[in-house]
Amino acid sequence: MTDQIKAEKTEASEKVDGVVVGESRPAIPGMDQEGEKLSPDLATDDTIRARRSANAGSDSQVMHSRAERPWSFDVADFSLPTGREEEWRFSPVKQLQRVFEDVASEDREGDPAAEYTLDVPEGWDAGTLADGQEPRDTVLRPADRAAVVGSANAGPARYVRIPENAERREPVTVRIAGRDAERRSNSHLVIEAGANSHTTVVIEHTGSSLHNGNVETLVREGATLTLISLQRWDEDAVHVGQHDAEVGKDASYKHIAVTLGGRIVRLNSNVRYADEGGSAQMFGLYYADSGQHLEHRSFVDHNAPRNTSNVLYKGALQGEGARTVWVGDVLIQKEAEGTDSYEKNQNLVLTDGARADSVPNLEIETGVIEGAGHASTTGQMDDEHLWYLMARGIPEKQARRLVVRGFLNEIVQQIRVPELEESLMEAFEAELALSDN
Amino acid sequence: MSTLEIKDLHVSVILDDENTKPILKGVNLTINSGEIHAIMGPNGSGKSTLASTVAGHPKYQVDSGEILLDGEDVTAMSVDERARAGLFLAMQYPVEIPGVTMSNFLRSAKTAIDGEAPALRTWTKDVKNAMGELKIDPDFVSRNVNEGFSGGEKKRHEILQLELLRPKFAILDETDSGLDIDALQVVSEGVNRAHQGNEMGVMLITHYTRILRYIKPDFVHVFVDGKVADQGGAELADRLEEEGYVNYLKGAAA
Amino acid sequence: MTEQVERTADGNVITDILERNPELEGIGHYQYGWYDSDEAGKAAQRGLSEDVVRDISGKKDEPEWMLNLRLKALKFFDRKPMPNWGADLSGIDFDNIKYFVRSTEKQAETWEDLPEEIRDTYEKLGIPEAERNRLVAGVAAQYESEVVYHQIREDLEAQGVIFMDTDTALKEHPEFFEEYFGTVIPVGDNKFAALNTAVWSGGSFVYVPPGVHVEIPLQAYFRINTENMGQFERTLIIADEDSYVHYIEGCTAPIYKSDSLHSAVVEIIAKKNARVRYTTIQNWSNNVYNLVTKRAIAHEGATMEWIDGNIGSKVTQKYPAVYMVGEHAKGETLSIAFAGEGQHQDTGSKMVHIAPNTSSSIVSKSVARGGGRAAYRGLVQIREGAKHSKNNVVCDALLVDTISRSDTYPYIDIREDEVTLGHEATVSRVSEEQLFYLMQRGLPEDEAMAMIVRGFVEPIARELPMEYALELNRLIELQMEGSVG
Repeated sequence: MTDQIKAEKTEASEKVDGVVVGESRPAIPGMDQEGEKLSPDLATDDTIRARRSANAGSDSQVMHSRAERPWSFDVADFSLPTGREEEWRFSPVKQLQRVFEDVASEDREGDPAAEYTLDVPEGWDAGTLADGQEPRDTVLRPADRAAVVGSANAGPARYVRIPENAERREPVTVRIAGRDAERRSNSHLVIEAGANSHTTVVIEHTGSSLHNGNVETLVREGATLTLISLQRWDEDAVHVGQHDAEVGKDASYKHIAVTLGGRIVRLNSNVRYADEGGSAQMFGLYYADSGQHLEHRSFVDHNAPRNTSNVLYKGALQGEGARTVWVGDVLIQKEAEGTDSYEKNQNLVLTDGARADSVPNLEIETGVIEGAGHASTTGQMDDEHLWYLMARGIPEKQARRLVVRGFLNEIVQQIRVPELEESLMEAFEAELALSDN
Repeated sequence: MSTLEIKDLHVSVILDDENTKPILKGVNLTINSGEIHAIMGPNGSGKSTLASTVAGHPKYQVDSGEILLDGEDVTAMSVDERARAGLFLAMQYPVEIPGVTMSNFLRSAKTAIDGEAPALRTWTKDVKNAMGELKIDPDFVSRNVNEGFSGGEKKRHEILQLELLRPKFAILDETDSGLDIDALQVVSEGVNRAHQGNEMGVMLITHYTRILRYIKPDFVHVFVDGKVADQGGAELADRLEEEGYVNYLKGAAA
Repeated sequence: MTEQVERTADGNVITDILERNPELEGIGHYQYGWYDSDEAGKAAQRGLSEDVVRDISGKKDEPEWMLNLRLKALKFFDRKPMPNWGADLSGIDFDNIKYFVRSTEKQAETWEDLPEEIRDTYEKLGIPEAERNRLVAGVAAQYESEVVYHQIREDLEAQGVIFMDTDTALKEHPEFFEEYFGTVIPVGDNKFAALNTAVWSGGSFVYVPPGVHVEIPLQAYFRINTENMGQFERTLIIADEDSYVHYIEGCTAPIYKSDSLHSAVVEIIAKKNARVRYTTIQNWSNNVYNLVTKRAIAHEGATMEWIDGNIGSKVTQKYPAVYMVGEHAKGETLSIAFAGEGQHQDTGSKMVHIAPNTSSSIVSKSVARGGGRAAYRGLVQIREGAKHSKNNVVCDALLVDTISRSDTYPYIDIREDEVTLGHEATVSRVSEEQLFYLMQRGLPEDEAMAMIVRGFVEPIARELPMEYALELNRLIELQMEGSVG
């Protein structure tokens, strides 16, 4: 803040002709003579704040649309976030400083910061891709400081290639296990689903780390890929990441983010299309406890005609300081005629002191669409549901659990991996038991 | 005295930007003022396509042939020009128009057809009387066009418009479908009133002979595979009631 | 809000405005693009400086505190950057704007007392006619920077209702200004509110005493005539306990080659159990930047309703707000935006729940055609402690062609758990079947299109007083003319 502003703050009770003209004049709680501050460290100018440019370029750069959001592979293009930027304004930027640093993974001899394991099924290729070696960097475009330093410091990217026509019912799991909440780990994973393949890949995050992990996914023509990212970190982990996918002609991509653990998790999941006839589904499920900040951002870029997208994120919150953020952007570009798109976010706030932010944004540049819409609801448990169950003799405590389980189950059902679904439902039971105290 | 003449009409339905599918394959039909023509035939024979094409629905493309109203070809006219020239289509599935009240809609249509606004006092009375005859609740004028109407209510409103707009020719596209017996009677009486009152010509498209008990056709045409396969007087309908379309379908297949 | 149902003598329900009021058929088909001779405007000074601010304040013979507030606002205006998140505002040239144009020396109390050109203008706009027909309870007409005509019904005056231009009110009722001016929208709230505070002139002041219900609307009409004019009216409405008032404003301007700026500030205080309804039909010409800050504070049990129609202007950025500071306060916004060729309507609403048991709703309908851009931008904030608050947002957009665009940016910020919130948005296209149906009944395509669009905005239009609903319908028709090829 400049001295000038400070000087004016001190003249709060300034009077002329007996009339207060200074800062104490505003009648609305939380306002001073410069209007309101939506966030303490936000120097807001405007009645309704909005989209500022990203870190790249100067802060005054005009950005009128999601389409203009900058991206770069060069770390120098992104300055350190301050929290004033549109895309960081909900995030605890101070606590994220260490994952913004342009540093390598803090691996030690025989003791990596995060251990990576993958049992490669027969016929699949697993290897690495050097910086710039295709298909690495053909889909993922680092769009913020966290993403650019993550990829730049990941070293060779882990690469999983699913062969053409591969069909596999059982999921293939990539395990990333953090070893130390104080050690930084960077990772860049490239998944390529070959044409007409039909598979499920799970990325499971456990343990603890300062993890900066990007995932780049190519879904080739006619392929169907379900990618499940599980955040089951210990309670002190910090995780930032960008998951970008390109959906090929007539291909189907389903991304499911499930976030239960971690102190701070901030995932950007983005989709765009290589051709026509593609389908993208993005699901998310989060359960925030006291002290957790769980943030999910999804962006569907309808950059080609006749594709569909459906976004649904559901979250439950409990405990003092539990915080969730969902920002869902859908952009239907001029050429994306025949698009059908919908996005929805629903939050269930279970106790006092929790806060959910929900921002569905929709930008449409063509009128030739099948349909587009979005919805967002945040509220407490529906008393009608509770009443109904209790009228059937179910005690309140149990009824509440039933309602929450039912609320979350809509996403769990999308997973279609029975062991995983079961294990998640167990985790929810444990979470629910916490809120009963 | 007016004439609606359809000459060797070939029509395709537009499926998407590139593909069309031929439906009508050379239809010939002439209707004079005051005549009632029933068009009957099995599902998919092109009856509704004929109705929509005469009215100018953009989904249908005239490949060749003519539709003449008093000698003037209407195929080059836009939908509204045809309506103003005196062609009315009572639709099989009338569409809902949110926020537009029936009363506003009816008056706008009347103004467009007549070229001048109807005198408010007599118009309100005309609407009220016509609604009474069709057993439509007076409150319906304040409801939005077709919004939340039952199937029967929608059909009655189509006939209400027919009576108020007084076209030269009315095409009734399966107006009888989905009506119970009471509603069918009310609707038929409405058509008969318009027919007698205005010397209106009628093209009555139906799958069943039931409605012909109430609206007596002068001519019956049997439609099969996009063409008129047979025609005759009212007695042809009686025969169809007994025999169905089986004989014609065999003929088409042979 | 209740739906009006009227019946004829023989029991028919009448909802159609024209059927209900055949006499309205005669009210003019407005065309606003003309301009009058402009001696005052030509002589006015361009550009903004401390001297300009002192000059405006001096001409108005204001108390010193107001001058000081203006000068403080000017500092904020200079320091604050241009907002960069909404529409493109780079076309505004602050140095080329005329900040104050005085068109008459004295305010008129009868239309005959006005200079002929100005009187003709308002005759063409139909304002005196509405007054003669007793459709309004009071009229204020602002031309350039100042209110040139003012009248209020005697019976209201007798009940203690004050309705006058803001400049006069500051002189005659300074106590209201000392207590309320700038308390809802602070001096440096945002760049354009700061600009308004620095150079404000004209606008309306309304005070409604406790328990008084003003049943017929008060009306203000704003007209810009001078090219490159900046109109900065300032409106302050105080509805005392248990009172009711409906205030309506309309706006027009001529079509010039270069742009004008309209940057108003409207502050409303709805005290305990008061109800205020504020209706705007903005039809500025397509070279006006319309950047307006409107905000109301709603105390215990009070209801604030914004009805906001944005048809004209080049760019509009306007988000009427309600701050619910008392329990059971209510906020409601109904918003219509119509973006035609070359227009950017960035509108919406802001609802801030501060006290418990408050409720708000926002219904927004936008139509874009001819490459226009309509955006809904809203904020719903539920602060800590605002338990059992409820909010619902519905925004629907209708696209009538393939080159226009529609965006939705609903911000939701919840800091309390015992709340209920809902948001829904749809974007739809006019369906081929609807068009076919209407055209089959004889309506030409553009009329059919206009009818569908009118139907789309009908849920909001029916909340307007009838002559405004009628005007809105005509404006939509004008906008839709030539919209179909």
